[in-house]
Amino acid sequence: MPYLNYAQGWLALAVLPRWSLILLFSLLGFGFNFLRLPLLFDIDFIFGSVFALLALVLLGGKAAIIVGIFAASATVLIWQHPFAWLIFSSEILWLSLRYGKNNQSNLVLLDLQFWLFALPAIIGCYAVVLDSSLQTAVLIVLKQISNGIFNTLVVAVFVAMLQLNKPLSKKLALPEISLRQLVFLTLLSLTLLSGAMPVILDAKKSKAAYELAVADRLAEISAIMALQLDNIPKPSSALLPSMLQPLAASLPIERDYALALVNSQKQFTQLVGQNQTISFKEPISLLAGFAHWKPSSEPLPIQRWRKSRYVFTYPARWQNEAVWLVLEQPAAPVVTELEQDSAQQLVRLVLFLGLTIGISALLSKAISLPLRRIDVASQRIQADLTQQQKTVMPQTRVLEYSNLSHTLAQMSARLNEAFQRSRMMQCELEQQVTQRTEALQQSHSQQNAILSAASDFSIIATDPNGVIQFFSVGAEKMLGYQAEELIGKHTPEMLHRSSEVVNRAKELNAELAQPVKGFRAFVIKAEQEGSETHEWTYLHKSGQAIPVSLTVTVIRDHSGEISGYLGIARDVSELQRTERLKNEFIATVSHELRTPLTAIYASLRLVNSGKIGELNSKTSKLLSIAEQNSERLTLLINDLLDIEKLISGKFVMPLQIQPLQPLLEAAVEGVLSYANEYQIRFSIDVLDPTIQANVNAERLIQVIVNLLSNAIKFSPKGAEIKLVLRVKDHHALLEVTDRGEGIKDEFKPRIFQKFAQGDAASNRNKGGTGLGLAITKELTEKMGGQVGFDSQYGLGSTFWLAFALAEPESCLNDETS
Amino acid sequence: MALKRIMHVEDDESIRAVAEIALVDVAGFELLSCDSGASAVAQASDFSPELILLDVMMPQMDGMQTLAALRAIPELANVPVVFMTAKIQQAEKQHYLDAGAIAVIDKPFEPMALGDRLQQLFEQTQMSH
Repeated sequence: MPYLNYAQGWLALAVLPRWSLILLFSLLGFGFNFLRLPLLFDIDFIFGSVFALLALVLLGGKAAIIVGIFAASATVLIWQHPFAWLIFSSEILWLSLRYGKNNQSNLVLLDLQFWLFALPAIIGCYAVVLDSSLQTAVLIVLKQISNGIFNTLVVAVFVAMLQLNKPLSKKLALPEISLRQLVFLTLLSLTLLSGAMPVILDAKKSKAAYELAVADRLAEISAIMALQLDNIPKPSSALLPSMLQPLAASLPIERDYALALVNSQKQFTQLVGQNQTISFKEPISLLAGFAHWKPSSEPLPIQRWRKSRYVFTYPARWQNEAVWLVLEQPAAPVVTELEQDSAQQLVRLVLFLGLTIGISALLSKAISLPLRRIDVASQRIQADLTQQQKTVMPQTRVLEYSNLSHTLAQMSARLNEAFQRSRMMQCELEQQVTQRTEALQQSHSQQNAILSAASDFSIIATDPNGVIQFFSVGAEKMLGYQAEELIGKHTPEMLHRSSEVVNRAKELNAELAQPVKGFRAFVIKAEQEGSETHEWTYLHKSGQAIPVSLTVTVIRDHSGEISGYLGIARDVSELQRTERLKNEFIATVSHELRTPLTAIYASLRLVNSGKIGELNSKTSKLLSIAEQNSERLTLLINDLLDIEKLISGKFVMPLQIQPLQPLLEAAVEGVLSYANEYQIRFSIDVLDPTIQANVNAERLIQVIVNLLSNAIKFSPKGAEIKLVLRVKDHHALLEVTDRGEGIKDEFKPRIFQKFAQGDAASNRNKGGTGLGLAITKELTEKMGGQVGFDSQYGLGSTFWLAFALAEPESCLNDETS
Repeated sequence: MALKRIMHVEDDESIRAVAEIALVDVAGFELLSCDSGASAVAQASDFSPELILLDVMMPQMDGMQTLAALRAIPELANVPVVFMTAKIQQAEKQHYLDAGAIAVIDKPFEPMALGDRLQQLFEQTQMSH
C-alpha cells in the first residue's frame, strides 16, 4: 500500500507547526524551480508553483502567497529578469484570492481564468520590455500557461487523492470532493496523458531527424572531398590552401559552412569559411563522426544553442598520409526549424489543453448535473411533505439517473401518502384527546361535586409516599385545616394523636412480624387486604380530639402498582356518645327490671317450695303460674340483652378447641329440671367421644340449651328426645330430634327470625320469647358453625348444629413427633 | 367447715327480705342484712361475717367501693365476697372476679339453692386456704 504510506507521511507533516510547513514548502518550491523537465525544444517545465498551490490548499491563502513569492524568486536567477517572478507571484495571488470563494474549488479552471485574463498583459510585457519578437513572447506565454496549468493539475490530482482518503482528509480538515471535480480531474488527466505524450515524443523525434539529416549531408560532402583529395598531388606546405581551395569551391557547400584539413601533426588548413570548433588554442581531439558543439561562453542555453555548430570529422588519406576533414555547419538554421516546430507543437499542446479542459469541464458538469438536480429535488422532499405537495423529480435520458430519479419519486410519493395518513391519524388522535379531556373534566367536576357534597366525611388522598394530594371540604370542616395548608406538604400522620400511631405501629409490628412506622401504620393492612377500617383519634387544628372510624383504601394504577391511598373518616363521637348512653340505658333497664323480678321470683319460689307453709291447691296453682311467668320474664330480658349485644357486635366470644361431649352433657344437665316437669327423657348417642371443635363453651352450651328447651317445649308429655353427636363430612354434627308436632311449611322460612313463634296461633301456649332460635343462629354462626333443621309437620323436628372438625390432640402429636 | 355468719349488703328491701327467708329460714345461716355499703362497713367488724354477699349496683357506695372499704378493715381482709348482680355481661363478671370476689351470682337467683351455693363456695375457699 504505497499510497497509504505516502499518505501517512503527509499525516506526519500535518502535525508540524504551521510556520515550519510554510518554510518547508518555500524551500521545496524554490528548489523545484531548478528542476527542469525538457518538454519540447527549448521548452522546459519547472515545478516551484506546485508547493505554493499545496500551501494554498493545506495552509490557506496567506501561506500560499508567502511560499509562491519565495519559490518564484528562483526564476530571477534562471532568466535574469524579474518578469517571470512577477507573473508567477500574480498567479498565486489570484488563486489565493479566488480559491474557495463562491464555491470555486477547481484549481485548474481558476488557473485557466488567470492566464486568459493575464495573457495580453504578459505578451505585451515580454514584447516591449524584453524586446523579444512577438512570436517569442507568445511562445513564452504559452509555455508559462501550459506549465502553470500542468502544475495546477498535478496539485489538484494530489489533493483529490488526499480528499478521498478518509483519515487524512479528516486530519487535514479537507472538504469532501464533488463528483464533478473528480470526473473533471480524471478526464483531464487521462486525456492529457494520452494526448500530450505523442506530441512530446514527436518533438523529440523531429530534433533527431533534423540532426540526422545534417549529419548525412556533412558526411556526404566530406566523402566527395575525400575522393577528390586522392587526385591531387601532395604539395609542399606553402602551396596547400591554394591547391585545395578550387576543389573545395566545387563542393555543394552552403555559405555558412566551414571546412578544414587537419594532418597527422594536428596542423590544420582552413579550406572554406572559418572552423570555430578548431580555432581554440587547446588541441582538439579528432574523433570520427558527427558532433554538436556549443560555445561555453554563452550563459543562456538557447543562446548557446543558437551559436552552436554541427561538426563532422571525416578520416581520409592524402598521398598515404592520414588526414582529417573537419566540416562545420552552424546549428542556427536547425534551431530556427526546431523552434518553429516547437512553437507549433506548443500551440497545439495549449490548444489541446484548452480544449481538454473545456470538454472535461463540460462533461463533468453534464455527468454530475442530473445528480445535483436529483439532490436538490430530494432536499425539497421534506418541505413538500409538510406542504402536502408532490415532489417533481428531474427527467433525464441517462438510464441510471432516470432509475434513481424514478425510485426517489416513488419514495417521495409513498412518504407523502404515509405522511398524510399519519397526519390524519394525528388529527383523529387530537380529536379523541380533546373529547377524552372534556369527558375527564366533566367526570372530574362530578367527582369534585360528590366529594364536596360528602361534607360529613373527611376524604383525604395521598400519593404512595403518604403526601397529601387531596383534602376534601368535609376534611376541612372536620379538622379545621385548609386544603392548601396540607396538600403536597404533609402526610396524614400529623392529623393523628401521635401516641395512638406509635401504639398501632407496635401492634402491627408484632402481628405482621415486620417493622411498621409512621404513615405505614395506616396503610399496611389495607395493602394486604384491599382496605381496612380502624378507629383512630383525629386532632382538630385547635387540638380538640375527634374519634373517627377511618377506612383506608389502596389506589392502584392499571398495572397494579400502588399509586396512592384514600382515607375516608367518619366522625364517630356522636355514635360513641349514643352507644354509651345505650349501654347505660341497657344496664339500668336490666338492673331496674331484674331487681323487682328477683324479689318476685324468689318469693314465689320460696312460697311454692312449701317450706314456708302449706297452700291450698288453687292458691298453689295460681302461684305456680306466677312463678312460671316471672321465670319467662327473666328469660325474655336475658334474650333481649343477648340479641342486642349480638347485633351490635359487642359479644366477646373467645374460641377454643375442645371436646364437644362435655358441653352436650352440661347443656342436658341445665335443662334436666325443665324436662322433668314434662317427664321428657333424653336418649344421648355420642358416636365418637373424641370429637372436637373450635367453640366458646359457655355460648355453645347456651345454644344447645336453646335447642333442647324448644324440643322439650314442643314434645308431648313423657316423650323421648334423641341427641346424636357424630362426624359427617369432616364436621362435628349434633342432632336434636323431638317427637313434637313439627314445623308447618309456611313457617319454615321464618323460623330463625326474631320474635317468630311457630305456635303463636296454636291453642297451646308454650311460652318463650321468640328470640331463642334467632340467638341460636347468631351465636352458632359467630363461632363459625351452621344451624339447620329437618321437619315434617305432624312427625316432629330434627335441629342440627355443625362445626368444622378440629384435629384431636393425639393426631397433632403424632404428626409432630 | 360449715358456714355460719353471712353479711348481705343490698339496697333493695324486697330482695333483702326474700334473701333473709332463703338464707335464714331455708338454709339456717346467721344473717346480717345491710341496706347500704356504708352501713355494712359500719357493722361488719362487730358482726365479723364469714362470707359477704354484696350487691353491685347501689346508690352512693356501689358494690366495688364497698368491697374496697371492707377490705380496708384488717379483720375482714380475707373474708370471701360473693357479688350479686343483674348485669350479665361476661366482661364485667371477670372485672368483679379480678377485684377479689370469689363468685358472681346472677339476679334473679334461685332462693332454694342460694344457701347451698354459698356453702359450696365457702368450702372451696376454705380448702384453698
